[in-house]
Amino acid sequence: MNRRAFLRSAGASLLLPSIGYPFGDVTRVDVAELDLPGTSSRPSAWKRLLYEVENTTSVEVDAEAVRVDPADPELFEHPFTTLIGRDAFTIHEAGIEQLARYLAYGGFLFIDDTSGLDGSPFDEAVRHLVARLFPTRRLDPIPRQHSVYRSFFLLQRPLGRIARHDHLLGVTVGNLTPLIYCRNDLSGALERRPDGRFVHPCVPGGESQRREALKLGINLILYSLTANYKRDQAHVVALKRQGRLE
Amino acid sequence: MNALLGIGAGELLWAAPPWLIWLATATAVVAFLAAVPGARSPWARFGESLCWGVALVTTVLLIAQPTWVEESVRTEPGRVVVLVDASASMGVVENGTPRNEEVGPLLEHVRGQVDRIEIYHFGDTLRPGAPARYDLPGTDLESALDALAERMTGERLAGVVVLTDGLDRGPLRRRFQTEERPTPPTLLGPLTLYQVGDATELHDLAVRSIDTSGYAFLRSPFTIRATLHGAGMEGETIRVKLLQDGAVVTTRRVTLDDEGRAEVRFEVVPERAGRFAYEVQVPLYEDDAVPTNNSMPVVVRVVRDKIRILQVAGAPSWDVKFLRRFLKGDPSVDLVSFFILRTARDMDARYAEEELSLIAFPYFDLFSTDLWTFDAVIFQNFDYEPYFGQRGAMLLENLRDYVVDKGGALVMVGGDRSFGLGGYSGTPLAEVLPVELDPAERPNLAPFQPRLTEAGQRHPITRLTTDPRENGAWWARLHPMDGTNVVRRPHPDAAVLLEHPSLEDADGSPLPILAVREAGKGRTMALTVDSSWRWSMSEAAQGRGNQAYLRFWKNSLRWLMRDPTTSRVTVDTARENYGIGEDVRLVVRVRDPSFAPLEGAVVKARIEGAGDRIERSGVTSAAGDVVLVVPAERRGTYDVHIRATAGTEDIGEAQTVYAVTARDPELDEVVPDSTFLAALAARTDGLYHGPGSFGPVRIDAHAGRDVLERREIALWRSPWWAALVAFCAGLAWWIRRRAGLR
Repeated sequence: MNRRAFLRSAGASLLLPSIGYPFGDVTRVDVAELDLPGTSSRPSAWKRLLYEVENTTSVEVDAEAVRVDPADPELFEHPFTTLIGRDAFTIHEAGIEQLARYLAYGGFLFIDDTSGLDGSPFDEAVRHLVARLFPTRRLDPIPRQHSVYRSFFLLQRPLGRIARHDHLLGVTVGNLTPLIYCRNDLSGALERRPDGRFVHPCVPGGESQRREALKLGINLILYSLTANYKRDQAHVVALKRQGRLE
Repeated sequence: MNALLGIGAGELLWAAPPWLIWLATATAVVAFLAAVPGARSPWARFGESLCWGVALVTTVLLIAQPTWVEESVRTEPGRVVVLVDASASMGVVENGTPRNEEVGPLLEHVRGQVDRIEIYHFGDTLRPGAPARYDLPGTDLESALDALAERMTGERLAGVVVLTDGLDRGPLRRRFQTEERPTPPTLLGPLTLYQVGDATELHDLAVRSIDTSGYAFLRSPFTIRATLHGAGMEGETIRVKLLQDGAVVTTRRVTLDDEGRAEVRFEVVPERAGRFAYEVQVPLYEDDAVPTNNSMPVVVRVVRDKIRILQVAGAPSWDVKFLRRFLKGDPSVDLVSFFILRTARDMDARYAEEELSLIAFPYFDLFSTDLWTFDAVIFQNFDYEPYFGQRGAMLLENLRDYVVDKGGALVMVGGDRSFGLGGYSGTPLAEVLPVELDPAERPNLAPFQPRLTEAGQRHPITRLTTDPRENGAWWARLHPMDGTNVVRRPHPDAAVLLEHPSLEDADGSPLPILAVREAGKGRTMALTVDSSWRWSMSEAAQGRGNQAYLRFWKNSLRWLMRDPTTSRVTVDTARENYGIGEDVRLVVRVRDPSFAPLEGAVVKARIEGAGDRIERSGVTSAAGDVVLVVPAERRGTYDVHIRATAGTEDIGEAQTVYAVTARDPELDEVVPDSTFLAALAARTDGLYHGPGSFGPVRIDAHAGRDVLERREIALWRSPWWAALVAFCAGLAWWIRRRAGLR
């Protein structure tokens, strides 16, 4: 047991018996960035997001994002992965093969286009990647009733640093969507400087838009953990009864 | 001539077959022609030919076997045939004595009126003689009369006497009940009917039939409908009981209508899957005519529509995600999940309630009224105290009772909110867990590789592959766990399937990681880690799919649900309910520890029910099964106990239950049918004598039967014919020698 784990377990058992931690760091929810040539890295954005997840939800997190090669078996240690960028990227065949297997067996991939452009080189590369990962499925708009819009917050639009697109894209297999693609630069809304200030302004909505982007990020984490849980009958009926869901 | 031969008028027949006669004739002609040539005087030739001719013709006649046949017809006086109803309804008790005790005096009465009687008895067939017992199935008077007509072909009887209670189950009575001018039966003589049994002295309360759909769904109401009949009890109110496995489930009061009939319905909500014996029972009064029809069993197979599982998680996690993913992906599972998405410490004032998609945790309904609708409850890193509050003890008591009394299944999966860390120590829930808890538990966060125990090597939950060696290798290569709850020790009744490789429990034994237990009627399982999801992802990373994870949890569900496939010995029958006279085929399957078919296992079966105890035994085939056949002879519920052994190894036991429910129609209706008997007598111009009446037998004085007498005289057997042949042949030979021939 490492020092941090010991302190956590001591705290859990002695001070805060009802506030606990999963066994071992690796059981915590974290974010892994796919390390591919041409892609970007925004660990501060994920740290900010996971901090918010920890404070807002019951999910226990490890806020330190890691970068992992899609061909590395370590990928399977991190069921939530991201792929962000603005430029074209390449991925080798071994990475495709393992990433497809990862998504088939429970992994989740969030792709974020940070360019803010329609038809960016990154977007083109993403569509090519999706076609190779899911040869028989399409990247479709995610409908408003999808669980990702209600996995924790009730969201109307998927906002990020920008608000160009009013929907997310995704690949759905059965009742699950293991790949979700945002073209509004979600990570850009969350990226922070070392001094704590946000790197990018959110346009056109400013801080309220950033707040919505944060809520979307939380929903993405919760969706990767609970999948279509919020479409269970008990939730739908209760939310409709309370008038929070149409 | 006839007088000379000592014969009368008749007919000459040749007994030998024609081909023999023709052969003899041809031989005689050849012999004669052979004797004629040769030189001799005309007188010698004539004399010799004459003698040979007489000898050969006589020989041919002897071979033809001439027989003289005389026939004459003689008329005898007609007989009276008595048919005694020997069906089970004749055994009905009236005023303390069986109805059939009236038969003896009636037979004496008939004998006193006529000289020549022949007695037969009948049920569904006609049999000679007076009945020794009254237990024949069915009563078919018309069939009996037809059989009598066939037997007495051409004879006119002086009378046909029938002693019966009139409860005919054949077409004759139905015709008389439904047709205005029913076709009468074939009768060889005038009919006299003596009614045996008296309706006014009869009281019989009976369960006539039970109707179920044969199977029911778990925790869904189904109806058991019974029809009742009370002879001599019209308008009375009676209490009807429904029993399950011998214990009273519920009672209903019903009032019999003017015809003594009633219908009663019981609504049952089965709480466990399997076969269950129900029985509808009406009171047995002292003067009940047929005590055996006062109850009727039926076996109902309770099946699961789907396995209904409640998954409650203290927080979303990868472990929660993968277990839900597995459960949701199983089409046989109806999953209800509740995840605590936000605890009290996560309350953030920046977000209004309207922004959230959260709903209140309906814990009270879930663990009080709804709890009984679930087959299994999974507590996955869930601590009850923050949610249950003051009602904690009561709701955990419900959970305990759900397991112990209702046969529910409970799984507790590890984490920092589970076991001792979840505050379960000393609670009612802890009473049913497979592990004893430490209220001051400190988890161990060091990664470790769980180790399969000896019990784990055999147990169906931890059997990831059928080959024990391969199974051990699978467990050894699976991803290490990230840490574990540290429980005090396994419960004494528990089986530990996985253990920690280095940590010890309070007794110095390896710390249990996976333990299971039979707690009352239910089963429980404790998995003290929160990283079993790694068995899915790590295997997938190696290109081996997620079979290890899926099989582990699927095995767990099967065992928790008491799936028969998790037992090495199983017994089944094709149906739950059988009719009397059918064969019940018990199919016993025996498997080896790897669950492969086991050949050569000795199977012993004990079948108990309805006061019977039957034993059967057999040896399993190469397919690992053996079929034992038991006849369904008496109505009742039968418990089947199977024990299988192989050499000195006791492989295991299995149980099932079936019922012989087919009602005996003979005892469905026991009130004598005087209406039918009177109508039958009227329609056939016969006589009907009611209960206790010793009236006369209707006789046809002109009836009789023609007896054919036949006399056969074998003419060829007389020794004179042989002497004639010898004399003629000898004389012919003498003449031939005198003429100098040889």
